Amino acid sequence: MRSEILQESLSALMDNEADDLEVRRVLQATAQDSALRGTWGRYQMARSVLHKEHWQPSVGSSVDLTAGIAAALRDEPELQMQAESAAPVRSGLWRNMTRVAVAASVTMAVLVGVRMVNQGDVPQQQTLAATESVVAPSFAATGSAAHSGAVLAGYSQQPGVSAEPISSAQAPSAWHEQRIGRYLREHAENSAQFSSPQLVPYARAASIEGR
Amino acid sequence: MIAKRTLGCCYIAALLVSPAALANDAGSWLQRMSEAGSQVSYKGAFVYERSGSFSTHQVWHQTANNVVTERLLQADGEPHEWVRRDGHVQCASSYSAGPIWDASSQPAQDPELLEQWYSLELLGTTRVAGRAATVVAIIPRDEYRYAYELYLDSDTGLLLKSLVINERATLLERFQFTDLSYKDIPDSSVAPGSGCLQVDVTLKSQENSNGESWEPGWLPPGFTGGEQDVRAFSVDEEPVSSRVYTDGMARFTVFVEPLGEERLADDLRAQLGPTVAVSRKLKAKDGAFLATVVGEIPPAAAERIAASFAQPAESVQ
Repeated sequence: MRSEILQESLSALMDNEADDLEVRRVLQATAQDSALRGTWGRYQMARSVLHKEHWQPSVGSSVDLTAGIAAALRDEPELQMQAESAAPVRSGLWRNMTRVAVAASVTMAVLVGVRMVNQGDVPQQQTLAATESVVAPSFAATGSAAHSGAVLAGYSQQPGVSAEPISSAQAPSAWHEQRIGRYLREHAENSAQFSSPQLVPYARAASIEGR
Repeated sequence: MIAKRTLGCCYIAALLVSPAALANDAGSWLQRMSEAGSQVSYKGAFVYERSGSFSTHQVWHQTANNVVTERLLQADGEPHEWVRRDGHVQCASSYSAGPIWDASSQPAQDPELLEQWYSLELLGTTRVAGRAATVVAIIPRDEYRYAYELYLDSDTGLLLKSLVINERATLLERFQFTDLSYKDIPDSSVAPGSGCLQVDVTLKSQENSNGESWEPGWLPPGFTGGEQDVRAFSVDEEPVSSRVYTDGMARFTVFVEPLGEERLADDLRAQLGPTVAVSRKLKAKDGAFLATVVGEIPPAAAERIAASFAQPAESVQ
């Protein structure tokens, strides 16, 4: 129980949402509890790997943040277990692949290709909330209620990528699908004219043209 | 906020430097970034990665007599090529848009304006493409935009690497130089290849013929719209009206066009890397319209914009 509370405090701390008392509690507990200290370290590492790229703080922290992706994969059981739980088959090869998958989730974005979902069946008033749970799993928990200030923080609990097609979705009409593709290109190419920030919009446009 | 937190240690390490000074510093780096393109010549290679796509590109960037000419060539798959001169696309091997957009109206990156909607933070230094890089984090102050990490050449301010990160700290997009050398670029290097086709001005912008103006009732704070543009994508089609909105960093476009018997559509959401598209069907007295929000903004923000077309009948003449 106590450790659960501590875990919660630790999460809150990682999300920058901990109050003074929680911060003190975590600091005090980590001084005595090496397991909790390890957890904190792993959270930090996972977070730094997931969001901070290789740039990592070098001072002011009691945990070692110098390890890179390889170390994170080796030492991050939670991360790995979650990825595997998404993939029930666990031969040796598959295990390696899930490791790769974890690495991929570090560097690759979440959704594969264009994902289109008709929302015609969803009642208007509930559209936001309902689509949040149906449409894009990776964005499922974001929604309009996303904590402001929690951006970039918050160790993601779902590093494994669920790329299952959405069964409840209706296929959009051919015309609409073609149109969406056209809009995406128009938007990208228009943005590419405004070289800001520099070559990024061009690269976006090229990646859409390459489809 | 992670960047803030990690920065915290820097604050402690350098308490004498006020946070405001640090923020200003990040702002001046962005300023340098926006000016860098017109100050240097270089040749380089970069990668671009988003969900479902990884591509490699070469770039030749020539700055001569205040004119920037840039040639971009995709190095894998189809050899897509673009040549851009003075902000205008000269030729492209595949370019869907007939319309030529006027890049001269591009607003300069204004860090002060940006700081209303993002907190700008200097994260430190590292290396990208063998060059010393300074890392600037652009962290949104609300949930209507994404976070960015920009890695700028410490010598020139050129953008060497860019990451787009969503509110759940998932990386949505990576742009990164792998190789870069600053040097004079001969004209021959920026001359279009044979596969690069002249971009023709096809369809001119039109007057808004039916007098209707569909406007979203809600915009995320800080986003301002450019000119409305009304034109058909091809000769035998109904005109599409579009308007681009930006907060200085993120951009989205709102498209509105009439639906018809052979143009069926319903509410829809599509996601492509950092770009979301949300369609909403609008009903007016004289038929149905389709409004689609496309841009690098969080899906929830796009949904809200699209849903704000809610009472269209009143805006109809």
